[in-house]
Amino acid sequence: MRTNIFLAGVGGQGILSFARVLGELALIRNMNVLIGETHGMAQRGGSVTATIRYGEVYSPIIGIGRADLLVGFEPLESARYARILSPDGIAIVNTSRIIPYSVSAQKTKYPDLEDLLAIIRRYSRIVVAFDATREAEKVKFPLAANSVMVGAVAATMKIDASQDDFKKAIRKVVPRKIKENLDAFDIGYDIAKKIIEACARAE
Amino acid sequence: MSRMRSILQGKPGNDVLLLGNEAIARGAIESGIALATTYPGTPASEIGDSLARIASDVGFYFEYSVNEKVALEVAIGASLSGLRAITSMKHVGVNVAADALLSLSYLGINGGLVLVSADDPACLSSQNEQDNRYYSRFAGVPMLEPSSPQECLDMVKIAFELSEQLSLPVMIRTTTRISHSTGLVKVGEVRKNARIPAFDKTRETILLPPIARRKHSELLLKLDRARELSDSSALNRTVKVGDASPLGIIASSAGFNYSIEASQDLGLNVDILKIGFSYPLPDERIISFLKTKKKVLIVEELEPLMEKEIRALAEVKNIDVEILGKGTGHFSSLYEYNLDILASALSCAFLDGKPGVKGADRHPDDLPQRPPVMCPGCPHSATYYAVKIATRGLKPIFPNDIGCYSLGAEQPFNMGDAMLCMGASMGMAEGLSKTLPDPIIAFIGDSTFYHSGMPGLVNAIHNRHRFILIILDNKTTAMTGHQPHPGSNVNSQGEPAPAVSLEKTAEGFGVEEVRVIDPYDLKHSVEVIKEELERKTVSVIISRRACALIEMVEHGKILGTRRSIDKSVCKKCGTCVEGLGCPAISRQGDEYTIDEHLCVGCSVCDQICPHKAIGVRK
Repeated sequence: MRTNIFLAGVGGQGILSFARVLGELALIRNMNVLIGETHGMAQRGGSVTATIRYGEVYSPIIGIGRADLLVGFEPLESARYARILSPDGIAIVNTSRIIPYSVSAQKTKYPDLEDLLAIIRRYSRIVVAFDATREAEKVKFPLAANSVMVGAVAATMKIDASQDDFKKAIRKVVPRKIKENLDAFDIGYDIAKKIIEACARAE
Repeated sequence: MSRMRSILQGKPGNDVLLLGNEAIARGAIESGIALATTYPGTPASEIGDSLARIASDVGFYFEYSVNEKVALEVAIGASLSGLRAITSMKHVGVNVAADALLSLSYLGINGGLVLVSADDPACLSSQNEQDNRYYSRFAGVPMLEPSSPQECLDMVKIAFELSEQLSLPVMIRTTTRISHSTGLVKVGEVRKNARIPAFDKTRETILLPPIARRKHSELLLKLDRARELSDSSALNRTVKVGDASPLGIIASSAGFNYSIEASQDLGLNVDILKIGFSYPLPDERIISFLKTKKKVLIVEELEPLMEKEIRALAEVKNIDVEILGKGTGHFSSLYEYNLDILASALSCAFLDGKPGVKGADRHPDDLPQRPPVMCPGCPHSATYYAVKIATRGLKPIFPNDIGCYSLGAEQPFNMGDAMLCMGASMGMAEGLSKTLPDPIIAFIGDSTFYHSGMPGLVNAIHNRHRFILIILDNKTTAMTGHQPHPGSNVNSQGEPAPAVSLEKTAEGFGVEEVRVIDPYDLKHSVEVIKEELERKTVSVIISRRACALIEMVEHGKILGTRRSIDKSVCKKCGTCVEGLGCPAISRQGDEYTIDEHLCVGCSVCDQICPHKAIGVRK
């Protein structure tokens, strides 16, 4: 049994730390894990990905159409890698956008959010899209946006771990503002749970 | 969130999460090293960084050396005194260290010496994707290749044993995917160096010609012995997928990981000979493996090194087996592999599938690209902008160098006309200045200048070359994670250290007048560059301003006051977006905005706006 999780975002968004939280989860749950990371030049504001794989795995690489979960920290980057999703996969998308320099320089437009989500929906029936950055402002700590996203990951039930396990993992990785981050987790969990239930009813 | 964790975590026998590079560092401190050196470079950097943080606690010496050659030589010194030493570098760094490495195998070692080469198939952070397994053959140095974080740790310990057994340095070769994979690693006991250093004057550690000739023959004997050790090594082992089978795979490094998963996914029955001790190859074991198989696929990223040697073995031993790989078109020598490539190659080789199932293109929906860019407030952006203004109407050629500032070759600056390897900006500038009438302006970073730029400047002075050298001094080795360098006033452990002055170095070499500019002061910077364009000898301008990222980390706040655009004044001329390329400034159609979360308040956009539309929000 393998669980494949693909992270996509922009360098500087804290994707490595997010991966580390999911890594700690493996220790807590006594699962095997491999994490593939991006370091170096690509981190300088460029498109960045990471992978987390649980179970009997040998390589951190995830094949196209094999991801159980796509966690997108930015809508354009989520759409860029949507093909990684398996037909039963779930996409979680932070809709807060970061405009790439190529858009500014070439006088083009950043694609409409609905168009980006439509691309993702071609690969997945369940797309949990919401503005995690704005939600994090509710706990008065914008950097907690990724903890909101961890909450959303927990709500998908794709990883064999309880909410408490996730919270333990957050405590191990987050250096400060633990309460704010745990509150942010709850916010993300509740939002994602509602969206996923609504998708289930719609089918 | 915190980035680096300590490699000291975990009691012996426990599983901990470690990055491949961290596992290598852990293996070193479990081997009782007395000394570790490196020059930072992706994908090797985290080996040195994690050792730097714990060196004083564990009690070994660590340094960020000025370059890879010196790093290796310092490690050799420790080895000659009988102690264990490790040095790590990226693949192209081994080219810098190669002069020492290729004779070191003749010289032999005393205390165990391990050199880690982190290769970069697909050039994810590099100027080439050279295959450093060639160095094992070229230098005559045994090589181990891990496939997992656990093997990273285990193989370092084995490498130290082997090194002392053979009196040879041993290379560990990783790739980006191995170095930058995190997994569960069972750790052992951390061991301090317990040896007393002693230099043995009776050992012939000097390569005068008669000694060198004899040492070469000794090296060949050592490599024969190494081949026997490879044959009996548990690092070379057979892994069965499914039932007994006449089909085989011989694989190393990341190629093994993809092989086993892709075979399982396809439901193949196949035996995989995993090669961990990859030079010398385990000839006898390979021969017996080939003899039991009808078809064998060789899986190795980049060059067909094993493939050619294995084909030769089969030929010499007259073994009736079909060997598949790059020679038969099943794989390319380009880039890195993945599960899809392996699935395609395996079905083609063993299931009569059709070849050429290429990985689909990565951006099917024609979405805007997002390449890496210089950070908000980056002093390099300001310097490039000043050069652009100062050289208006001229047609300068811009040789550039390796670092964050390499991004100056991209939009909107386009100031990288030639870029090759560390330190090459200067030598190329000198040749260009002798052959072209145009102004030549070379860029080099501070760390790169110390690394390999200095001989270029010495050459320029003595041979009367005429060009402008701009040293982009951001007070750190920024691209690889802000490591200190000889110009820093702290050492690897953050203790006070004498800083080697760029000005005094250049003046000592004989530069007439070293100019220093602050790139955040655009007006002055432009004036100085214009003046220097008139100079008749080599000109050195130091553009000095600390990396905006490190400045913010050290002071816990942004550089200045955040800027915003007054939309009632903005004429939408595009100067800010097209001039500076700052990721905090964006344009959507006709809408210009400064992102309040991204802006760090460097004030440069404020200085360049011709309509005074940018300023501090009232």
